[in-house]
Amino acid sequence: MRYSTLRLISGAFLITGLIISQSLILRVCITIFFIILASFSGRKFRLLPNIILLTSISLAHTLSPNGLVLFSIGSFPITLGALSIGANKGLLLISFIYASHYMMSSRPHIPGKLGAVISLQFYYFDRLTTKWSLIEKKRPFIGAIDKLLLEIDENIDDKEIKQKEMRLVEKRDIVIHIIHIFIMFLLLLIFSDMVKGICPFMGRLP
Amino acid sequence: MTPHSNTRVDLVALFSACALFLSTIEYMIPKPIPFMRLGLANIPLIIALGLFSKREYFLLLLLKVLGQGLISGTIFSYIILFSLAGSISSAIIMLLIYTLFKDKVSRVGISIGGALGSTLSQLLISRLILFKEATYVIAPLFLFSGLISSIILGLAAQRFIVMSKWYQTMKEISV
Repeated sequence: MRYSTLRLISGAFLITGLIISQSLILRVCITIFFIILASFSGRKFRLLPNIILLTSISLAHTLSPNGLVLFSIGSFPITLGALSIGANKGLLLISFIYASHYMMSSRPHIPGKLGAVISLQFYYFDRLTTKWSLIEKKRPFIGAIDKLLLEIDENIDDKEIKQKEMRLVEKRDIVIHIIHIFIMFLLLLIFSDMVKGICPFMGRLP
Repeated sequence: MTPHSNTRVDLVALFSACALFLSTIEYMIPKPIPFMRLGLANIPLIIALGLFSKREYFLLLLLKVLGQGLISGTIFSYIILFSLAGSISSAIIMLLIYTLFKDKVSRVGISIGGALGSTLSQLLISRLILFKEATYVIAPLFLFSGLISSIILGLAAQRFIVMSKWYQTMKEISV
């Protein structure tokens, strides 16, 4: 089995965990976990863009008030529910970006024609999200998108991709990826209803 | 384009990645009403008309729906049904308008046709499985918002086609 295929399978398990997670604290843990994994796969981590992303999504969601009113700005209420929904969405998005890098860093080969296209789709998505953060002038939006697409076309290093693709799985790789999946399911278990029943403190977390 | 990305399949993958990218941008925007959205991920589908064969176009559509479901976390829920029904009917109508009228109808017109098909099919599913009779109450709001968002998307797609150097290169390659 190729290393990239193992990475893809492991990533699919991890993304399933991400999708089924509901608790905000759990999402924070999973996001940190994905950032660590992606960093080890060569993705640069920059704190500020992620904080801006998370804050802007959370604040944007306050426009639809929901739940407990925390405070008001003039007559406009800032609600806990809206902030929580926004933060949850922001974390999901950040996690997904890093998860896709984790899965696609060695460009996996998925069997079949559809598999090949899906593999390429996520590869390009990873390139788009990486390059987008490097584009300084994002206005006008259409011009920025055009620049992004032109840069994607120019900078694809085919040789590097092929070299990564060729590597075969070693026993050590399997163990490492099993540990990745184990950590994810441990996190899900810690925040599960079963543990909440045993430890009431966990049930009080958002 | 690089040798790596010069096949049509690569182009489909790149368009679907763009749809995924626009889905992430859209995901950041709060929805005033559940299910109501701008549909930014449809822009690649509007732009892709005339670049791909019907088969490639529906492959792009499938990848867009799956990607959107993954981004929004709705891939394992019934919401994916709405997305699939809306996207398929919208794609069929847009493809039909483009095939019949080519450049006689602008991308705005095509986008409006697609949005109408998408909204109607989603309302039909909503009538069958979710809101039952209450669907008639929300229908005017959805149709109106669909009309407004489709005009915005159509204008954006039209502008991109005119302005984009990348699109011109893609068009030459696809021909």
